[in-house]
Amino acid sequence: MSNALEIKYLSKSYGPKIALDDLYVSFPEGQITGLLGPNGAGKSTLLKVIVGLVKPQAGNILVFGQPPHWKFNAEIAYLPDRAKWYKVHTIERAINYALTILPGFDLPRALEMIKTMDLDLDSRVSALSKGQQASLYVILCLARKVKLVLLDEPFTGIDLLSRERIIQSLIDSMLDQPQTIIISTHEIHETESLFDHVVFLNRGQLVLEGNVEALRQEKGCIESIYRGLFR
Amino acid sequence: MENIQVGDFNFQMDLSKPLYEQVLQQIRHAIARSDVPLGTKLPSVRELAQQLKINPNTVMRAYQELDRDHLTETRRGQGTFITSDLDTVKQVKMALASEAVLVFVSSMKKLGIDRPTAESLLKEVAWHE
Amino acid sequence: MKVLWTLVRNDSKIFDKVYYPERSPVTSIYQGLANALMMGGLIWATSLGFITGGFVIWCVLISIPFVISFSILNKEWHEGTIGWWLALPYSKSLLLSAKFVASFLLVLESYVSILAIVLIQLFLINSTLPPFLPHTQLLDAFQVCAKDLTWLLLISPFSILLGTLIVTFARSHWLPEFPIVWGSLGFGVIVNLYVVKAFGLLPSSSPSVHHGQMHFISVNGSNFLTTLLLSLSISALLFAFSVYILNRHVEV
Repeated sequence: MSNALEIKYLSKSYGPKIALDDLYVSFPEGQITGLLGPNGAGKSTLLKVIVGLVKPQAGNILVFGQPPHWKFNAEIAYLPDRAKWYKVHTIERAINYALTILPGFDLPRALEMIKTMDLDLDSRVSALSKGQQASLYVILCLARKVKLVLLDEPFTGIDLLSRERIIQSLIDSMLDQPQTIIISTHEIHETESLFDHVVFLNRGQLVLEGNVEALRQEKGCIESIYRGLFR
Repeated sequence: MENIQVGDFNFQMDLSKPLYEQVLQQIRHAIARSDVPLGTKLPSVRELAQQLKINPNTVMRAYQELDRDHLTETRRGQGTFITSDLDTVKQVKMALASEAVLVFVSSMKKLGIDRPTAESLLKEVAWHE
Repeated sequence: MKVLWTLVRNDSKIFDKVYYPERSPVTSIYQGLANALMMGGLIWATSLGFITGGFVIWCVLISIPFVISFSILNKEWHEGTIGWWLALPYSKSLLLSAKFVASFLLVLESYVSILAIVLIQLFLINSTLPPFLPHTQLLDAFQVCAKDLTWLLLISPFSILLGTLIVTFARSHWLPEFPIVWGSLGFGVIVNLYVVKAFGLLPSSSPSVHHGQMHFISVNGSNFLTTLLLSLSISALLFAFSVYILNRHVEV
């Protein structure tokens, strides 16, 4: 099986703070990978390097065989951490914007997702609850025909129902189009049943990675593996 | 562990064991125990994945395995159905029974109980309660 | 082209029917206090003779392009949309061009509306003045306004791109976080005023509204063509430098 991402000896620090430390890891293509680790483990930094928002100081990274470049972001749907959307937009306006600006945006699919997520096209982004905002962001990322989807903490601070709806649309998305999806998250309990593959990071380094079913066979549930690693 | 009812099937997922095996085993058992009538339609991959909140690839793998054992048959455009062939079901039933016997034997061995004792224990057990 | 237009539309608020529809009372009070303080300060400074009315008008007019472009770009960080924006699959020069066009449209809108208000006021004053007093020639006033507007627009690309450069610089990893950004706003406003003055666009000594003599700015020793060329070439440099910084030295 080929890899969507090949990361070799990648290092990045912000002043004295080390975000990625000689990280060597790869992410399988066509699978959904959970990127797990405590705060400051380097998860967000790694995703930012993939879309070129952060330049590593050392090492290299290949995304489908190419180093990151804004051109290749046409094939990547990225949900930034602690993302916000333009406050003055209505959902309809956001969708219209996405339709011209984001390559591969799938309007019918977006409208369907808006319906299942129970969002109103006329409501303004600034008036949405946190869960509704998160749902909108996930729609903007999943309603796209792209090769790679990166979701940075899509579930943080949102209510149970929105979380379940997002998980549902992730499952739909996986069935509708073969994509490589990487999700960084703390909510392991709710999401671990979705993953094909997991990567555990700590202090910018790889701690453990593997196929989820194999890890379950060997060590039990991902949540308890996480506890064991980071306690 | 919570019980999740999907169509005619009942599932209990345990995240500390491979999910693929659990889906496979639970459908197999449901068929062998005649919990579901023969010829019943299986839930679609989407439905089962959604209800169990698991990766659809896991469901697909389990379905492929069932198909390979001829426990299910896929009819084009209609979905996947449990076989109506009684012989196949019987075979699966026997296979599951021998698996259970193996488990029984190994636990007897661990207790240091020999075959005649085990057999006599079996004879004493009340089948109908 | 469609992409550029959509980005421009998104960056400028003219096309938004409702802008900031909900503002918390606290923000409004803050805003009101800040405005009152500024007005008070200006009145105080004017009354003591530190500055003249003409100077204040000049400062405001010259700062408009800078402040608009500063806030249009800074908004991406301020509102938390920067991650989406920088990860868009378009070159940084396209992204900044959209900001430039949006700023220019807004600048045009503000200048035209300010000058229109002045003209309307003149008209109203005219129509209420008793016949024996001298009247302002509206046509003359219009010509003067149009001339001022041309000069202001001529210099605005520079001010707009100075705003762009200062935001990108303040957000680059060369400088530490947040307060710098607001400091750089003040710094930029002053730099902008000095450079515009060096271009030869000076405050008008007597912004008198009588006899069609009203000028907002007085042009000193510059001609149209050289100012245009100078403004455009410096703007091009500022643009190139902003793109460079955004490409290489801005991380979020």
